[in-house]
Amino acid sequence: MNIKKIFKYEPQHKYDFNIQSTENATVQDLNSEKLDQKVNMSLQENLEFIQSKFNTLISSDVVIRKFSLICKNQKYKAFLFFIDGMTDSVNINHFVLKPLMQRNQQSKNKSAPPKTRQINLSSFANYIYNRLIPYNNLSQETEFDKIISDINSGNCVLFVDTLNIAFDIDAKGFKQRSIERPQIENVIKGPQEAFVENIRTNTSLLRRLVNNQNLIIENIEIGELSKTKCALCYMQNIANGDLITEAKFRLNNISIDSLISSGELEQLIQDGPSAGIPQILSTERPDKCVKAMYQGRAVILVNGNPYALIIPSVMTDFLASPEDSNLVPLFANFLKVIRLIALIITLLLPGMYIAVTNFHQELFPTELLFSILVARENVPFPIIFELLLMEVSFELIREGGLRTPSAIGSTLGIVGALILGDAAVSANVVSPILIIVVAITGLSSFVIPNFSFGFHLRVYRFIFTILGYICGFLGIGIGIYVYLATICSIKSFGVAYVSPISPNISGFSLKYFVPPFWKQEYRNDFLAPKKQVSQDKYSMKWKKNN
Amino acid sequence: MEKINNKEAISLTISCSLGITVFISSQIIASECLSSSLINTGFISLIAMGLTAIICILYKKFIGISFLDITEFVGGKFLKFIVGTAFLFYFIFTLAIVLCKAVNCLQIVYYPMTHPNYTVLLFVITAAIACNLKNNGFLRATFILVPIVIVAIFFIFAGNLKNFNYENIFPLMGNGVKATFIEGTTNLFTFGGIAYILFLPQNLKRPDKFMSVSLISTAISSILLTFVTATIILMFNKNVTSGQLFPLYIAVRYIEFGTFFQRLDSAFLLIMNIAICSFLGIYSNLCLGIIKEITNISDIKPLSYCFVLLLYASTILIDAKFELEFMQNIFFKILFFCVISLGLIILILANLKKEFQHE
Amino acid sequence: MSKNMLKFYAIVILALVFMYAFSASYTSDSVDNISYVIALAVDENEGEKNLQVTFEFMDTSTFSSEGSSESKSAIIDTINATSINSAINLLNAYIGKQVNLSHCKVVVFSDKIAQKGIGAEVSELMNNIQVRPSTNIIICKGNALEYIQNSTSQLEKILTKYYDIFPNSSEYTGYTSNIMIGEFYNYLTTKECGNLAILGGLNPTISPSNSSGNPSNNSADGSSSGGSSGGGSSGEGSGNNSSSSSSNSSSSNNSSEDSSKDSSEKEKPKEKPDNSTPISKMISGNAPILGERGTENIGLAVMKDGIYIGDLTAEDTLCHTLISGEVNSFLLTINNTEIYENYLDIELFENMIPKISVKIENDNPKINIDIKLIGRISGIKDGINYSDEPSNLDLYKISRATEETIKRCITDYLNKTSTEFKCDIDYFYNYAKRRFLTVQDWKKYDWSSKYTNSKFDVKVEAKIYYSLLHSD
Repeated sequence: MNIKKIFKYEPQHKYDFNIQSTENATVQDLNSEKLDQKVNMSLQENLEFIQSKFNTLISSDVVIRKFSLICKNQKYKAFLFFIDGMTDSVNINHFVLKPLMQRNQQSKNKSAPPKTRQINLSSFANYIYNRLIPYNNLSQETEFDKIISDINSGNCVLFVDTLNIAFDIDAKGFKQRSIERPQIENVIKGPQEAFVENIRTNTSLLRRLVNNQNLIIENIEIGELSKTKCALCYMQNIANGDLITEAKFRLNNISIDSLISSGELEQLIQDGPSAGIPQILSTERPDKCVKAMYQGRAVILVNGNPYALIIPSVMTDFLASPEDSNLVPLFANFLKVIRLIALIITLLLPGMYIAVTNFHQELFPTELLFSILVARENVPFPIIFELLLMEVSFELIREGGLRTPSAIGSTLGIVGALILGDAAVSANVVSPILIIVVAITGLSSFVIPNFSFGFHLRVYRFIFTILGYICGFLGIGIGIYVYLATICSIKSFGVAYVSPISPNISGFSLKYFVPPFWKQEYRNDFLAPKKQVSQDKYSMKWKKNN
Repeated sequence: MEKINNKEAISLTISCSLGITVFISSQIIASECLSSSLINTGFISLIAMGLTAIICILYKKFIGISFLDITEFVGGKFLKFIVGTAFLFYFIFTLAIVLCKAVNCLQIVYYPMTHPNYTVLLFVITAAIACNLKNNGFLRATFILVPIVIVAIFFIFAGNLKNFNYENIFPLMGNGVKATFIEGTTNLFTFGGIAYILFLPQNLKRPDKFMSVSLISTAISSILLTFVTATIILMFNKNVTSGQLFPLYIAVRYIEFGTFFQRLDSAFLLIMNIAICSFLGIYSNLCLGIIKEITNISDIKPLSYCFVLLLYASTILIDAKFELEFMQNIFFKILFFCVISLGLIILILANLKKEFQHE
Repeated sequence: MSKNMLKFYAIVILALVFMYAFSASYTSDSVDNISYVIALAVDENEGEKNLQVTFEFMDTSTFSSEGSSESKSAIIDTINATSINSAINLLNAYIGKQVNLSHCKVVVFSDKIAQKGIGAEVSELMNNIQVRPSTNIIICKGNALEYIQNSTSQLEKILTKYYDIFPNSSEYTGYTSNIMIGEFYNYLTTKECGNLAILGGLNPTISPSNSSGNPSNNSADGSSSGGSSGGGSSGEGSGNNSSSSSSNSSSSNNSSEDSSKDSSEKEKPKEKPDNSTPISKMISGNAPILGERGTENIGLAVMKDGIYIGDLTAEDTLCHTLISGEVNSFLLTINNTEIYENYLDIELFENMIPKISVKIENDNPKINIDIKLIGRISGIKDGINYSDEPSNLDLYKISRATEETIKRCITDYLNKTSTEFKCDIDYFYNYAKRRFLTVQDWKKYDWSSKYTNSKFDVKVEAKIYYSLLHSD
């Protein structure tokens, strides 16, 4: 042991990333996104235009199939534009590409029917429309606005040189409803889809819900050996540029052999050790990811894992449930109050109980105190031992319940409750009041929506229990301060963990309690989005006009 | 230290004054001025607001510049060192006094079998943790916790309304005009936040808002002082106000709502501990900031362990009751006036020097 | 060894250090090692030691599911000592658990010891960090030990609930007051005024030694048993204790004697209560009540400088609570034959907080009290509906009669305080202080001596409205 090394000064490695607010962030009119462009006769121009719109150089799931189309001994260049994962590849191959490419090859040798000997533009378009694409849902479009919208929803579009129309083919083929319900983040009133292991399916889920061409899905490979595909998804016109740059920087500068789960990636990209407090939100719900992206955050998907990571995340995100946006604000805020109470109970109730019984018994009403005394009369163990015994038993049952097959899972619950509840009290091993304390603590821990956050509370309550045992409310008070100060010192991708409560920014930010949806006109200031306005001042125009 | 917003700066300044108000000054004001305590409180609040305004006006030419840099501008590095050391001594002394008083109270009431040195050690370790946190964690925690402490003070006032004897404010002049207005001016030491205000401008995100931040925080501190003093004066007569425990704690013991909510002093203990920890965190970081400026050390965090050891040593030195009363009644007041006068003189000289330089 | 490991070891060592440091506090203060006193009684001890201190503990079988029907019992221990703290010290050694006063509901002093002064004892209790300022203080006519023994909960299962609730009757009867030790101490340390305490007493229809429902009673019965066993145990006691706190802890069990007395007493029929005592003379001990509980709390005890100097009857107490604004509603029985042959019961409510002002005229205080009440007739002997018929009985006359009655009562009461007790027990000094600028001027005035020359001007306004629910 090198003693000199222990006391030697080592400069702290400072890595301090802050999101800078965009000075030129525009308060844009919502209608400015409309495209007036029409389809050009030049194929190259159409190609360049649509490539720029979809950022095909960056986006990895956009497919451009160029081919030549021979019609009446004339060769026409054409390309097919669609999004991989959104379309049915089999149908495109059989009913679009095959007739366009192979049939025309055969027709080269046969004599053309006399009616179609002369080809002009309109008849050429009609010929393709009537003869070459045996698809049930086919339309001719001239406006890029509609074309792009249809591509986003899963259509496949054919552009042909010399034609100023495009053929919009409804070849949607993304997965629907075979995707399962969320395992952990269940809601009553809301979508029941969850991510799956396949990254392309997950990106298609996001695409479908976002329904906007500004969604960028960048492919990144992580792991020297496993080359695990990860996708960084964000809204190009909303997310802060610094945030995306920082995310890409971190993702591209990971030197590991293999990456299997999003949990490992979470540990590799978070700002720093945070004493177990989760800094990145992980979710299995696509709707939650889409909502986050529209707020200006980024989502990271990992192939082979159904959990997406949302960056940056603040503490209020871990206490929010997807149900909140589906409910009336009154009920949603009521549930938030319940969750806050549950957080305090999970963290502090065992510690407070032991502090009060060891040091501050005058806080109890007299009758309650005597009830506790009577309950404890025949119990041989000190309160701290009882409490730790029950807490550990509860954790054992909880972990056991996760591992048991569902057939005997309910039996385990009954046995555990019987052993813990009834038999322990009858045998005077523990007092009944302690059972109530432990049960309420356990119930409250289930109320926390996020699994990681709830887990850290479960661990920290042991620390508060020890503090309460050692020095009562003095220890609990100091513990609360240190815990709060630690939480306040955490940053998640440049955003303070307790934003927007502190630092208190003068701009608009959604605090813990949410206002009605029609009042959420601006995006959160702490994310420094490019586009701050998310709604018109009078979003309910039907009301205003009346 | 990272730049801070206006609201956080206000909460920091309030927390500085709150520690001194709750533990020390309210008892001194109540025992010295008797029934004229509220008048004295109002009087010193006006003086404090005036002082704060003067400091803000003197700072106008030095927006965003730290106080010690201004001192260096006036008298070079040597003066900077002297003034910095003086302020450091004052802040450490304040910390030690408040900690000593709080730990004495805890020891009498809750931990009679435990040597107070261990309780001090517990607080001092908290200060060390607060100093070592990144990203101004202590600052944000204070911003969240100060409203809770303020609500607790209002709750103590409101919960004791039925026990108040409103005639305790008579006779109006208490111990006399001299005791209220002349000797009572020494009670200005309650506003420890004024000394903190001197070091605030360099940390503000918007230094142009320095005046409003300072005045608002002084106003809120004076309101809190009024409420605390009113609680004590309206509830007790003079014999209770000069005891060993601080009277606000005794006032909490009288709060009861039916037979269920009684003896809430343990709950007050919880809030009091949080307030002490906030107070410790702020002052410790401030002291480390001063040390950094004086000594030009690039990374001050490893020195925090030495600092808290120094704090621990100063607290356990102030042991005997007699010494504590002398320290808080006389020495503390003298020190406060010395420090504030020093600050004002430096600012005035700096302003004059800048005027001459412009000419 | 890396720095992180060092940090981990440092945390573990510190945790162990703090566990050790605070171990004494949490071991001694743990709920398993403490016994809670619910009532304290202090009597005069005629022997060498000045005080006989009685501690009442709750029988916890009341709270268990197997609690029997005789679950209203309490455990009473008595110690002879020089002070309350030394009695507590000895009791700690006797009962094995540490005594804790944080749930003590009442402190009872006997009249004999109160006549000698209880300032020191009250100060001792207030400086005990465990004692709640909301503990009620009672001066008992007779033996405080007997008061505790006879103070059983009649309608409540748990004795502590009775102790919590009984002072609340001041709000709707006015015959007692909810006086707490914190307030008592506050006024005790003020030289300008006197002090009041709840007056307790034993019910005359219940035999004093009929300790109903007290199977476990370790007490020193007077000084005789203490003296007889004192010789044997004092030697042991003095060997173990310091001279200042050595006391004779008597642990003789008189339960067998009591039980035989019980059986013989129970056979005797209870006497009919004497109903000739009017409200104006009624205090604890002479109330015409026949009941299961052997104690009463009617009236207040007047103290000056901590010495018991007199009583306030039920009527005087009502006047006091009216002036202080403590009573919200009360019943007044008017017997005015000019208006009505029989008694009239009027229920009165406080309309506004009484307005009190003090002026200094010719160096003597003139105290003005303005009381506003509203009331309704709550009982008439015959069922005549007086609102319809013209009759001698009309509401105006009833109001005037009510006002005169109350005014007369209050004036008599105030004159009694200034001439008989010669101390300000209604705390008018608070209002007099307004007339002075500084504390020194106020002290020079010497309110306590000037109060005896006070003049009182009482104005009572009582608006009566007729509101019987049923009439013929």
